[in-house]
Amino acid sequence: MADKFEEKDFSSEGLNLKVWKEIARLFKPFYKKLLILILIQVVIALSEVIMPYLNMISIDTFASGEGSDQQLLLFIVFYFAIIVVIGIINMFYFNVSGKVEMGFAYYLREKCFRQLQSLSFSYYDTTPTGWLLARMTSDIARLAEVIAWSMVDMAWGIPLMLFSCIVMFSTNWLLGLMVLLVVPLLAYVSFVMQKMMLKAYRGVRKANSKITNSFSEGINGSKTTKTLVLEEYNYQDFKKDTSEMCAVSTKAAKVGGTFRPLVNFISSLTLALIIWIGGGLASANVIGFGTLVMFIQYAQQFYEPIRSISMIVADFQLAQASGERIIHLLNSEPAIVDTKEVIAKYGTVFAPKEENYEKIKGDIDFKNVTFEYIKGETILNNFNLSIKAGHTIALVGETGSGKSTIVNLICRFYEPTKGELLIDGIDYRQRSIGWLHSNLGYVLQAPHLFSGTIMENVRYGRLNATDEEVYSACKVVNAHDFITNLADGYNTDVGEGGSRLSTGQKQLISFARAVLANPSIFVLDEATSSIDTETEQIIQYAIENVMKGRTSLVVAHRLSTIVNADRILVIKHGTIIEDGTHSELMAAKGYYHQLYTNQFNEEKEARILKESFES
Amino acid sequence: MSSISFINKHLGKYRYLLVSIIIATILYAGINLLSSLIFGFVIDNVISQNPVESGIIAVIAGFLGGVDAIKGNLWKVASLLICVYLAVAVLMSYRQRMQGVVSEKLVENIRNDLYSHIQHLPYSYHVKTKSGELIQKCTSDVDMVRRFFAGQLAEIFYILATAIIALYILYSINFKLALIASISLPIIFLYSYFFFKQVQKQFLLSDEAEAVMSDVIQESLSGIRVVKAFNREKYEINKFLKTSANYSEITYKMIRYLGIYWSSSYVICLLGILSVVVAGIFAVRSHDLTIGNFTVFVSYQTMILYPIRQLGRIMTDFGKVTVSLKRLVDIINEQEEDLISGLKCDLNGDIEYRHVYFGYDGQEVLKDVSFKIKQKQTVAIIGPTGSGKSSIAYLLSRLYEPDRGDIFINGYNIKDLNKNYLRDNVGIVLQEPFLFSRSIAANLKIARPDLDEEKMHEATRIAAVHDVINSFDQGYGTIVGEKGVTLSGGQKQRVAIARTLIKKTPILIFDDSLSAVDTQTDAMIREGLKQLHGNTTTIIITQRIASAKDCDLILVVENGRITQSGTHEELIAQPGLYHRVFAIQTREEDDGEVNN
Repeated sequence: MADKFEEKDFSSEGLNLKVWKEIARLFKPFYKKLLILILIQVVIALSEVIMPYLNMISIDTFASGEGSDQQLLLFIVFYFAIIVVIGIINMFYFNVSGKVEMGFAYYLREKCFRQLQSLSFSYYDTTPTGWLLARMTSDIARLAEVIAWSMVDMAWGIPLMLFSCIVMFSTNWLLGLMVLLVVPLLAYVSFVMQKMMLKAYRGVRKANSKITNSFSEGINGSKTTKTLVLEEYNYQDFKKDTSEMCAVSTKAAKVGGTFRPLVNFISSLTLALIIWIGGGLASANVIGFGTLVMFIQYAQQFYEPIRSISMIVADFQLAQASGERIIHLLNSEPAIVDTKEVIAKYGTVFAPKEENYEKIKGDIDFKNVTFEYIKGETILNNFNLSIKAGHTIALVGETGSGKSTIVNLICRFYEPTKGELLIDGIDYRQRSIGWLHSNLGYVLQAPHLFSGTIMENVRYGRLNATDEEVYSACKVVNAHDFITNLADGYNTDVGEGGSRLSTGQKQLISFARAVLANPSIFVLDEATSSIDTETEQIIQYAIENVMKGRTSLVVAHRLSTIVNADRILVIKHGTIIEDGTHSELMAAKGYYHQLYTNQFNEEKEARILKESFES
Repeated sequence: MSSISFINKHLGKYRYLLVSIIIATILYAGINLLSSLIFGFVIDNVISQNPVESGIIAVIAGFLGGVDAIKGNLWKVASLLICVYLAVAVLMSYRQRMQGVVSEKLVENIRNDLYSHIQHLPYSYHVKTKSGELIQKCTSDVDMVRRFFAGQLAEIFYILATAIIALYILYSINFKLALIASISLPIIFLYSYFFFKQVQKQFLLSDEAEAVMSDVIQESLSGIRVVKAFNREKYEINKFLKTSANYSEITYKMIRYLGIYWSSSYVICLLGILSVVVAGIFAVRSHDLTIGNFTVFVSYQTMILYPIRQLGRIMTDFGKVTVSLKRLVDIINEQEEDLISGLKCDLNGDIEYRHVYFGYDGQEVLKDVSFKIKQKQTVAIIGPTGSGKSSIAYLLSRLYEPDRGDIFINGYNIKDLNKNYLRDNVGIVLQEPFLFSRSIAANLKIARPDLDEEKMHEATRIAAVHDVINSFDQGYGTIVGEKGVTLSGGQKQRVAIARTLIKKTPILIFDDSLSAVDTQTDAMIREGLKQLHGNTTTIIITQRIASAKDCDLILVVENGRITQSGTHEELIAQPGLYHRVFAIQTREEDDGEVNN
């Protein structure tokens, strides 16, 4: 299907020097280890070049009967010593390469995670978590792996070829030349086929991700498929994907399956040359048999790096794409940052100077605030609102009316495009993000808990709280009883995302968390979907307790939760159309009255149904 | 079905190609060994002028016109070598290319079969299966099988053929020395095999540590609002660094294990070569071995040892392949539902449930459900969550089958009907519908690809979603689903309603599919439906009285039984659940806001 979603191919075509320059800059702390690795590779290459030479000696000197027993013993000892050295240096190589790989990955992950924690909501609005997770895990892993292993492979190949040349030319220049004769041809073939292979592999990757997506859709959508009788339709669609996959993969296998045998064949032409020319030299006693055998071995070994080059280039292509994505993440600018002056006084979120934080009273003023998420789409226009410290304000309105925006601005998850927002009479941008957030209590309608125990989740509100303080926070929101009734009490593992608790229980814990933070400003963002009546009853009590004595903002979907608010603001298209207490607004018989009556009836119905079911 | 017949079936006629690959592999393993023999021949017989002894050498010498003709004409040997290398290259290339063809064809067949099979597994299977796990099996397990056939299988034959032929030649040259050469083979094989068995635990530990780290990242990112609101960036970083450090440490430990293996097995191989070199030197000195054959020994030893080491690893991987295969076969062995046999009768008519019982997982969901619905009626099924009202609907399109009792449409027992045909005639809109990752238009047309724009817009207008779609930048071309724009629950439901309306089925079921839509839109959609249907029988499953009020018939379901049925007027006149709900609603209206 033409209008099916196709994944954007991130990998750039050729070599991107800019990306590698940035990677080199990131890699700086590991330069010293890299140098050690290169030295190790030089030693490994050297040891591998010595082996054929030793075999030559074994034939020319010892097998032919020359050389004393003592010399032979010395030879064996030397041979053995080389083996031991090879063993040790290879172990060393794994240790250092492993250290570089894991060290660099750790370093990059820390850098990226720090960056992710500093990025603003506007970034998260447009970037799915799954993508970020892939960058943090597989992209970083791949880049580190390629740098620590594949790049180092090159450091092995070059000295290997170089040392081999030295030994060969110093032994017999003519035979040495024979070995090198096919290098230009090989370079040309590699260059041409490399390009074909990279292109083919890219096709395979694309087709592969398409198949994964198709499987995911076919499985996740299977229930809908049954109701619409799409089994055959989906299957026919899928068959197109798999046959495309088969076609591109087979093509890639054919290109790849030609490359290696071809390189092998071209490089073994040198063996024929050596047996022809070298054999003649040996018959004429110009060289010994050992030398002939040595050249045969060099002719095979010399081209080993070239044979593995196809894999290395493919690795680098992948690593470059990963590097590009990582750098893109690291270069993203957080939309909300503190000024230098503010940081000087209050510190950053990672290194706060809490001693300079002023206590918040809780007066909030919007002064001619204009706000747009996307340029040109104004959500709030010259908006003015004054909230007194300690008041509870409810925001009511349709989806997209701007009520959540108002709350997001107060929390400084976003900043006004124009105008200013004052807290206790001072533009909040003159104080730090950390200052505001450490005075904020925030509860989402879909509560987010972290894996771990209930105790840990509540303590998230104030990390240095004692157990007693956690208990009393839970008592305030009426959560203590249900927690102590659990088998493990406060040590109950909540499961991934709190999955082992009911929505109501999760909500109570998120309230207790906010209570423990003892904030000056409390925000309850009810988000979009509705909560069921059972949950509502449980949390109603909690909400009222939490709001006492603080400036509270409630984005309300469920109106029964806000009848006691000091002020209810009905928002439409970014402006306040009704403003007053519940009874004032009900008496006015306006929008609020209509909304409230409808909802009230509906809730009653649901409750009756529920009760009859339970009885 | 067993793993072997699973592979056999999906290979199809390509199994012959696979056999030819293996033959080609064995052939080139043999030919590849010739070059060392030729080198030895040149040294011993051509240059040193020793008499030709072994059979193969005699054939080669004869082929080139005898030893004397070769001396001074070494180009003949060189040409022969080129022929040997060419043959190896051609056969090797054949193997690699055809491996690609076989493995890709094999997995294409497996993928198609799996996909089609999964599509045809019954509804109940999909309800109880975790989709993430199933996707994982369909991708990574299939890839495991692919990799085995794309190289490892032929490689096993290559290594074994090389080892057997080389050893045969070595034993025929010098028995004692060949014995020495053979000693290290089982050692290096067993060493590799057991090492990788052991190191798999380390791999597992590393995977687990990575999973823990990913979970922390995932949680921190999905809860970023909470993190920021509570000013916990620093805390999150510390929590993350702990898991990241743990993962790095465990993985580094694993790499070190690999390093120990790599270097120690390397040393074993080199010691094997050294033993042959030393024993060879003595054999040559005592004239038990020619220099040429000495070189044959050294090069064969090298050619066997490293691949045998590799074989140890392949054999441990083979264990993983069999596990993957088993998982795939388990999926294939699940019973498909029969969609194509059965009658195709006219379904424009009344619906009747007769003493229907239904349950799953040992729980009784429906008990003795009987009712009749006349054609063209609009019927509401109302009841609390978990009362079994959705099951009533699923039974009608045979997503589930009743345990007892029968269901009739237009007098035909639906268990005799063709399932595809039945579902084509019973349109269901699920409570949580799925939209595919493609444009809205493509999602709507999915069941009727030939549909014209006008009919499509008609359906979206009735579902009260036309204006919403037009408000998107890309309109009907907007991509939705996993990779596209996220629609709200209500928008999704409305698109799904339009998608079902487009099928123009004689029976329509809404399974609580207006739950995420606000009351006013709900009323609008119901109004639209009334105008649309001349011949349609409509069943609305709901929790809202407002949605049920105007229906021709209302069935009240409590605890898996129908406790009341009738029109709105009839039901409010009799005691029961419906009356209680309704009474409270009207009282609220009378009392107004005073109630608070």
